[in-house]
Amino acid sequence: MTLMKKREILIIAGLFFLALMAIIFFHFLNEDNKQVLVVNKEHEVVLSFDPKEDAYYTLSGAYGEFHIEVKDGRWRATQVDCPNHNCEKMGWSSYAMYVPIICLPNELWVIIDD
Amino acid sequence: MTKTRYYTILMMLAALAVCINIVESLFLPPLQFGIRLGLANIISLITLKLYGSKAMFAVCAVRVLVANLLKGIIFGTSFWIGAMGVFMSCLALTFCEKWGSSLCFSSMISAIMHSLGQLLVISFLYGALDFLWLLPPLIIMSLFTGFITYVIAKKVLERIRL
Repeated sequence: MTLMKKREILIIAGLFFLALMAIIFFHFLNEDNKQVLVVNKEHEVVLSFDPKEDAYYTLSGAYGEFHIEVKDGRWRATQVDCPNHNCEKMGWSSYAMYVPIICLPNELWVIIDD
Repeated sequence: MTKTRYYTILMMLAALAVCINIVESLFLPPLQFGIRLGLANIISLITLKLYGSKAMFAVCAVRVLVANLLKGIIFGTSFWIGAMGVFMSCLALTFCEKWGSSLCFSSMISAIMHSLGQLLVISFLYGALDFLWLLPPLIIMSLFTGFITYVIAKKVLERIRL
């Protein structure tokens, strides 16, 4: 029994290729002069920072405290008061490897200003 | 097969799915970007192959309701995100089955649709499209997790005797 039919392999390969292209496209799209924003559920900017400057920020979210560590042009959520800590597990984000960090319990997300 | 036996097996599958879901969320850390392996999808694949899509929808609905009830997050934001993910993955599996797709392909597409469903709900709830940035890496991770669930489901289907 074959693992997948030929057209299925083509679809999966196509999806993989498209996703890879999108990642590469986003990589070049993010200019490193933009600010990084922390936005809440009401779309208000609670904090904006320049990732080139190392810093440690403490914010108050809907559930508890939300900490952001900025180091060597990268940023991450750390020591967050929430039940699942998924935002911490998202790891480091940067201009080159941009991932919006989302903390649902605290209703905060960390994005690049576009 | 009698109706009683049919429903008993379905509920046992649902109970298994609930157990796997809770054990995974408690003991297995998420992979990159907060994505999980989604081991409970193994039960969806097995149910689909054994009893068809209606049974799969029933098992998944019980799984989402009971697992979230036990986790204490029923009808909260996380519940709706998870529920939409499961609904989309079930829908994908149903169409793949209808079109005679292989189990491996169905599992991968279902994993992608699961991630897409969750992202759509998050974007809708928070009224922001920024989260769609996550879609490309999630697609790549979903192909991987979909393949893992396929391998396990296939091994189970080869051995299962009902």
